[in-house]
Amino acid sequence: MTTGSRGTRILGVATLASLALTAWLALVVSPADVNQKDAVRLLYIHAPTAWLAMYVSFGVTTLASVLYLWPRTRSRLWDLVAGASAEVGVLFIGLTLAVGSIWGRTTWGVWWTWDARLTSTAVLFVLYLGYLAVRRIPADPLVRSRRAAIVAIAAFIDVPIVHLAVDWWRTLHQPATIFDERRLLDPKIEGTMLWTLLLSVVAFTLLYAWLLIHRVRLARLEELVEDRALEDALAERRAEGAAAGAPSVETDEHLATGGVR
Amino acid sequence: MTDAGYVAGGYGVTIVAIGVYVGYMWARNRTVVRLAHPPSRSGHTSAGYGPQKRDQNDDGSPPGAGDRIP
Repeated sequence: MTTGSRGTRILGVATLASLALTAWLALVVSPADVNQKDAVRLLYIHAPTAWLAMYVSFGVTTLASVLYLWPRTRSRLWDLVAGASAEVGVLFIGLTLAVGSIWGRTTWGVWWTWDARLTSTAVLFVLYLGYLAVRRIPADPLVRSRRAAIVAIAAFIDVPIVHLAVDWWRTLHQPATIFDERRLLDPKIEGTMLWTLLLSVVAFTLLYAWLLIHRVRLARLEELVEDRALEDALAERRAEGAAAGAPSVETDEHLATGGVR
Repeated sequence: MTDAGYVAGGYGVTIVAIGVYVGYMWARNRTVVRLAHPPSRSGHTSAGYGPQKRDQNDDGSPPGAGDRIP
């Protein structure tokens, strides 16, 4: 009983290899920036984690939540995928903030500033922490899943705000380098730096996929074990009531309500 | 601190964070496996869910006797 399979092992090896190659390119091969010096090497973590958290992780969470709420596509799996992707996304957005803060200290001279991009990203982090908290509130599984799906869709509203914050407000944070719609085919970064950044996006995407698959399978196993334990407990109590010749209605009712009156 | 120190700090934080999350998932997986295969009251490890089925208890009494959940 495990969350691993042949496919995830191959994916894991590919993830490790691409991360190792990224680290070598970022720390050894890629040159220091004229202005940022060695601090530019932090961007090979900061940019991919931000991209993955905002657009991929929270995008998948939102899509899975919509699919869960839509009656024709409703499936328990979508709820699990939404929760798992949000959890990985919170990890990545936390890393974005932490590594960005270190980069800010060495480049701007401060660990944190109430810049529009930074503040909206911090709000995003808190929103999805709240989403994960909502998923843990004890309730009927169907009610809890529906409630969580609505919160996930509402939280995603902050993603375009984070993306456009550098255009809407005068910010200390630099505008988009790769995903600038006006210079998509002519990015303001080139050579080894560009290839290192693109490879790191691939490496972190593989890591995201590996973590997501394991997390979904783990959630599935936990539900199976919970269901089986409940079935066993009910069967045992029924057998006990039948053996004693006593009416088991109260016992069943007690179990059904989880002991709460 | 030098730029190299900050860079090392950034990469270190990343490795530790991802490592902690993977460890957290591994620990939860171990817990699930333990819950799915609990040891029976007689100390035997069950191959499936719940206590192992046997013809009689350790004291020779029929199965189920003295085996009630309090």
